[in-house]
This record gives sequence, C-alpha cells and structure tokens, in this order.
Amino acid sequence: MKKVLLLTLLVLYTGTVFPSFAQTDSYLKNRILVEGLYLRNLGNFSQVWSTAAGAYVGYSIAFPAHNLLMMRTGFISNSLRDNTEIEDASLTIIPLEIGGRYYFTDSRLMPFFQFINGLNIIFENINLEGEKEDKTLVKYSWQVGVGLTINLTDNFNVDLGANYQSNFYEKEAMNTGFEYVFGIGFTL
Amino acid sequence: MKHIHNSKLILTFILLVTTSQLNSQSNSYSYFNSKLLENSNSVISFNNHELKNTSVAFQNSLAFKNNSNQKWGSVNLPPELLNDDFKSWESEKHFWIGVGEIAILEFIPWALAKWIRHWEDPADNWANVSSDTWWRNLSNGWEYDGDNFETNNFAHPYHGALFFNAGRTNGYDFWESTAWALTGSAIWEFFGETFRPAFNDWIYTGVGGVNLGEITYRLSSMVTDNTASGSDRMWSEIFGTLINPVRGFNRAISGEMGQNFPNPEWSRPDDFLITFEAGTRSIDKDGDKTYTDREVEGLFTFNLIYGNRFKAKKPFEYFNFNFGLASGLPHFTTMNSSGFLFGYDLDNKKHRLDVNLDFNYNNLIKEQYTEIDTLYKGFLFGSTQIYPHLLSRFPIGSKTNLVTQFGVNGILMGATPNDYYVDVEGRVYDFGPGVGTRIVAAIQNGIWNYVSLFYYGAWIWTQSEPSDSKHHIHYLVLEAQYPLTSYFSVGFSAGIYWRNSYYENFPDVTKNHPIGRFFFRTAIIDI
Repeated sequence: MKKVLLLTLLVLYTGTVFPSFAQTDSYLKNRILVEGLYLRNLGNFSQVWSTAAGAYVGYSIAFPAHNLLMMRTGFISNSLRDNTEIEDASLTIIPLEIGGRYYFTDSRLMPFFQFINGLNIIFENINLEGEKEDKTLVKYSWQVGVGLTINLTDNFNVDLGANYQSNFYEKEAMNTGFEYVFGIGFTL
Repeated sequence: MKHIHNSKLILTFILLVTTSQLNSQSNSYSYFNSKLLENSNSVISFNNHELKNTSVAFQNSLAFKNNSNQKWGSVNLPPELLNDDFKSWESEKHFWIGVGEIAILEFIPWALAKWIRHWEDPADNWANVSSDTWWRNLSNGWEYDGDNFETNNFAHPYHGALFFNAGRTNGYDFWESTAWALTGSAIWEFFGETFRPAFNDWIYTGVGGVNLGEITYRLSSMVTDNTASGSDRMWSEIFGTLINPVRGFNRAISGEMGQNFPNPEWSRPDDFLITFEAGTRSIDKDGDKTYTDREVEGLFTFNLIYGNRFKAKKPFEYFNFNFGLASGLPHFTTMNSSGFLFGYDLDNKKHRLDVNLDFNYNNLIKEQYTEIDTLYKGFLFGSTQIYPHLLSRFPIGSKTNLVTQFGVNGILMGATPNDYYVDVEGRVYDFGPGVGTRIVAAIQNGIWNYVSLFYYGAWIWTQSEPSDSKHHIHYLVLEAQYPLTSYFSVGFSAGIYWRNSYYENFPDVTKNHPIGRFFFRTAIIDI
C-alpha cells in the first residue's frame, strides 16, 4: 500500500513540477475517463448494505473554458453489513448516467463541481427484509460532488472526487451515500 | 418548499408592465393571433410575424415613444453622451455575488417561517433546522411531498426563477444558470427545511425555474432602457426590477441604474406581441360524460409572444407565455409557457426540428363540500417538460399557410388527479414522469389563425405515494376565430379533456370533461 501511495505521489509531483509536459491552450478537452469508486452508504439502506465498490467508464465532451458534458456507465457491487448473516446475497448496479462538470479554472490543477444523474439498473437476489427474491429494478440516480483534476500531461490526467448520492430505491430506504473516486483520464 | 405564494406578486408585475406599455403605446393596429388554445396543456402559439411587412410593422410599432424612429426604445440622450465603453455588469462573471444572492434567497423564506410566521404547534415549524435534520435529510434522501397544487406548481418555479437569475444576471449564460437554479433548489431541499427533500420540488423549482427565470430575464432586459434618462429611465428600471428583482438588485449594486450605455442588441426581439382575451368558459365538472354538471365562468387571459420561432437560434430567443384568471374558483387557473432551447432549420424556414422547454399550470379543480366529505371536481394538470417537435409551414395560398407541429411530450415531472387519495397537506394529485404526443395544426392568414386543432396526450407513471397507479390523459381542442377589425377578433373553441386512470388496488376511473369557450381577443402590443 505504501508503495502505491508513494508511486502516486511521485507521478503527481512529477507531472505538476516538470515543465517538460508542455501546456496547450486549454486543458479542457474531450476525454475518456476511467474511475474506481468506494461508497459509504447512509440511512436505512446502509443497515443492510453498508458499503459498495466498483468502477465507472465514461466519455466526456468539453465546452471550454469551464464545462464538461459527461456520459458514463459502470459496475457497482454492494457489500452486506458485517453482522448480517445472509449467504450469497448480492445487490449490484449498472449505472447509465449523464451530467456535467463545472471547472473553476483551466490550468494544471482544476477543481470542479459535478452533477450527474440517470438510471440505475439494479440486480438483487434479496430484499431489505432479508427475503430471497431475484429482481431487476430501474431507478433514478442522482449525484453531486466536488473534485480535482490534475493534468499530468496534455493528454493524461488524474481525477480525485467526493460525491453525495441520493439514488432512488425504496421510499423508506433510499440508496444514499458518500462516494470517493479516483480516476484517470485520456484526452482524445 | 411550502412557503411562497407569489401569484398576486406576479399578477401585479404583469399588470404593471401591461399598463406601462399601454400608456405609452396606443398605435398598434396589427394583430397576430399567437395563441391557439386557451387552457391547453401547453402554450402552442404560432409565430408568423416574419410574414409581415417589416417596414409597416416598424411604422406601426409601439415603441416606448410614439415619435421614435426606432423600433425599440427611446433615446432621449444625444448618442454622443452614451458611454459606449461602459462595461456592463453581465459582461463578467460574479460568482461570489451570485452565491451571496442565493444565500439571501434561501434566508428570506426560511427566516419568515422561523421568526415571523405564527405556528399553533411550534413543533410544526419546518424551519427549525439543525445539523441533526441536515444529516437526517442526507441519510434518508428524496421523497415526494404533499403540498397543494399552487405551491408545488407555481410558488416553487417562481422561487427557482430567482435562483436562476442569481446566475443569469451575474454574467452566466443560460445553460450555466440552470446549474444555479438546480443547486439553489437542492440546497433548500436538503438544508432549508426539516422535511425530507422533495424530488418533485427539486424538478419544479430547478427546471420550472429555468423556464420562468429566462422569461423574466428577457422581459426585464426588454423593458429596461439604458439609453433613457429622467422619468423614462426611472420607470423602465422600476418595471424591470418588478419583473426580475434579482436583476434589479444587481443593476442597483453595480451602478448600472445610473449609467447611460447602449442596450444589448439581443434584448430587443424581432417580434413581440401581447394579446388579451375576455370571454366565458363552460366546463363539465363531474366528468361523467353527461355534460349536466357544467359550470360557466368568466375567463380573462394575458398572452405574450417573444421573438420569432422560425428564426430562433439561442435559448428562449423565442418563447410564449399565457396567464389566465377565472371568475370562479380557483381564480388563478392557467399559466403556460414554452421556450425554444435549440433546434435545426431543415428546409429554409419551412421545416424545423426544435426542442422546447415547457411549463404548464392548469388548475380547473373545484372543491365541493358536503356534510360528510370534500369532493374534488374538475381536473388539473401541471408539468415541466421537454418538447422535441417538427415545426412545418405549408403554403396553401398567397397569404395563407398551414402551420403544423408534431412532437413528443417528454414530461420530467407531471401532476394529474388521483381519485382515491388526499394528502394531509392538501395534495389531491399524483406526481410522475411521462411521455406522449402532441399534434397541432392551424390555418393562418396573415396575422390570423382562422382555425386551429390541438391534441395533447401523455402517459404519467405515478412515483409519489401511493405509487400504485398510472394515468393516460388527453386534451383535444378545436378553435375558430374571425377578425372583426384588424386588431379585434371573436372566436370560440370546443374541446374535451379526458383521463383514464389505472389503479392496482382500486377500480379504474375514466373522466371526461367537455370544455367550451367564447371569447373576444384584442392585440395590446404588436412590435
């Protein structure tokens, strides 16, 4: 773990400091973005499914100098709370989402505000009451957050983000939570 | 959000603007029937201004001064005294000013509820927020609330229009300002009330606010004349501020109210029309197909068309807006608008593929009290929706055109009655997204629509509790009118609203509400 952290810091430092990575007019460009995520669920939903992990892959269209239109999909797998004794329970989600980012600056370090929404295709084999039942649901997803894009080169960037989500699931158990993401982007 | 009732305020704005225009503009004799169908689920006006002889229109136009040679406004200062180098407030972004204004707009209604409003049971005070209620709201997430139709479908969009203008009048463009409306609304929903955040509020405030916000932004910019001075200037600033208080505030703090500089070119549209209707409406209340429980009432409608829909390129360069008051209850019965978002000219202004943002408020539901119960008769329909459509114009004579629309009603959030449910807070209707079709056809001759046909249909899938229903609604109207003079017409319309509601736990319901109208229509302003 320490090696990974050190390597990450080295990459970030190198990309930020060395001028050999020449800058173009704008860092805001069309991008492919691949992100890993970790979710801490909240509320009644979290009493059963406490955390989640997964990945997004998406394509983004730039509208200089501040805006990015994002489309993404991915895979998210929820984890049961430790004290829940249910075998083979699973709740996985495939998100289909569209949204945008507002970048406050157009520079090597670009803080942003992000909103994204769409549909979650939810596959579950157990409900919140613990009853076994294979079911596929389609529910609205809603997420807002902030983050930082670090442009290591003209064509390669690292993203860090923290988001709050309030996805629909059940009236008394919405799929709310805080999400932390780490991603890499490639300019096309 | 349960706090704003601004109908009187809005009505005052509109009347003031209308009055101001009337006082200074009395020579308009060209009339264009922009409004097809009163009480329709969408304003569906056809703008055929471009058919007019523009030079005649210029001469007859009702600018702010009769002796003005310009189509718009009155320059009562010598041009050399205008400060051409003046940098307007909106030419630069003012992020923190906008944030401060959002905070003020959140604080005022919250403070009124917290400290001014009298609560019989203080525990009901939804403004008693704390870190605990914030965390609870974040943890529990969205729900659908139980507010009445007026609060959810009018007060919230108006509040959203103010949020929108915190961005729009601080240098942000239309699309960027949508984020201000949605963010302002989300902040209120999660942190301004003890209630769980209401998803329907967020849509109506955020998206409905964009629609009303851009309309008030453009109307305010139109009536404000930067080149005027003296009392002309004072009144133009007052009217502009009444229409859009946030813009007026920014003009005050930036000093623009006291500067003379050119008006932005976009602020004076190619075409602009206001019409007024007075007449009667007959509606069958119980919806049982017999047309025996009908109610006749007076109906007064204000209609506005901004821009030319066949020329629009930027968001809301064309929009239409109507506002209706009835003599019977509820008095505030309709408010519909439709604004151009983006589109493509397919065939030299004969065929266009456009996408509009629509807002609909149609409240024709009547409460009837019996000894044991309260009955809700009539119907209502509200929505904020996207409307992609094909707009076409087919010449059928030297001056006559058949203008058609065929499109999809993409309802982001719709409201339609539930026959079995009354919420403790007053909601008698269901919320949900929907989709349907809209077909419009009108025969136009010069400035008149002689005959028009309108159909609106939509499925709405209920998402609010109880979410055990779906609704299929239809509205069909045929309208005809005849011009008695060049600026005055008489007409009638006959239509029917019908609804098929399907419930999982109760018997299905079908309602039919025939509607008839007779009206006189006059053009107040035509530029």
